[in-house]
Amino acid sequence: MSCERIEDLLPAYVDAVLGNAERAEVEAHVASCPACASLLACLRTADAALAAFPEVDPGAELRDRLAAIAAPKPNFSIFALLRKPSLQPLLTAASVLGVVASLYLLNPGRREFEKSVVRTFHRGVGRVEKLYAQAGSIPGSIGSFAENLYASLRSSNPLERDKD
Amino acid sequence: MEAIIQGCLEGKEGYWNMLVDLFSKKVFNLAFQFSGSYQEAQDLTQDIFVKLFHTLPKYEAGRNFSAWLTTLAKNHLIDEYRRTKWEKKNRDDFDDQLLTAASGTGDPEMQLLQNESQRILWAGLNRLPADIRMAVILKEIQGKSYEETASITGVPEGTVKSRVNRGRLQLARILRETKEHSDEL
Repeated sequence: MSCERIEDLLPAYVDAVLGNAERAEVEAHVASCPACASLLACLRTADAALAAFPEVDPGAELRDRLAAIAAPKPNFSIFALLRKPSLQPLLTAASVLGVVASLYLLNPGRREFEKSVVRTFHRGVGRVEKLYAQAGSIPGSIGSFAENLYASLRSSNPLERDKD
Repeated sequence: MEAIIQGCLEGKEGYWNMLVDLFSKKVFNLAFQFSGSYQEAQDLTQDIFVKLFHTLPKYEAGRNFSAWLTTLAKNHLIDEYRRTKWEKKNRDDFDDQLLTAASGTGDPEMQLLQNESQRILWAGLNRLPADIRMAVILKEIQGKSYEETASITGVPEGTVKSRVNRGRLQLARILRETKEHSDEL
């Protein structure tokens, strides 16, 4: 029997499931063939080593990851977001702004209102310009006012009056 | 077991954790033995449990849950193996793996193994085709019967026996060649 044929029979020989005739053939061949004898020894070693592979612990970190698979996912709710206390001042300001904006945008006399705003603005600007021009004449008139003020102060002060 | 599964299906608190406690080690070890990498096995185990979570409603009460889950895990491992072409990568690295395995150095995974033979076989498993490797792992490492292995892998018992014996012989040859090679050095 060839080595190739014997090699195919070796697992069954190790498992002791060969018939008498085949078992005798394998034993006779192995006794005279170092390569097949070595393979038979390695097969027994491999079987024993595989059976003795240690079980490995997957670790706590993996266990946590696996447990999290079934954990309920937090649902995003717009109502929950709107109820957040920290958002209340912002929401109030936004509401007020919204009311004011809607009063303006939905007002049927909006164009007339815009015109009156522009008119008022221009009127205001004209008044400021007029006041600015008047302010230019103040340094001229303040001189006589200062002298009069000085004289009245002197007359009301008794020390200054005695000196005179 | 049925009560735990029912609890999981109804979303009762704590039942999923019970399932994780019962089967995470078993699934992880299958993934670890099949992939040869601790990190890869962690990710694969997580993927398998996500799949389990979604397919649990399809589990038929009265069936062997452990075998059902192992089949689910086996299918995922082989699909993922084919999808990501581990085979090519692992075969390219195979000679390097064997040399480091024989010397007892290298990957932290190797440190878990007790002797030189185990380290060589651990690296050698990567050289087996996926179907043969899975049959060897289930029968020879996890100690399942031919009948159970056939049920999990979905092939006849005769095919399982043939795959297991071919895998054992191939591993024995790898062991012989590596030891001869290291004796020569």
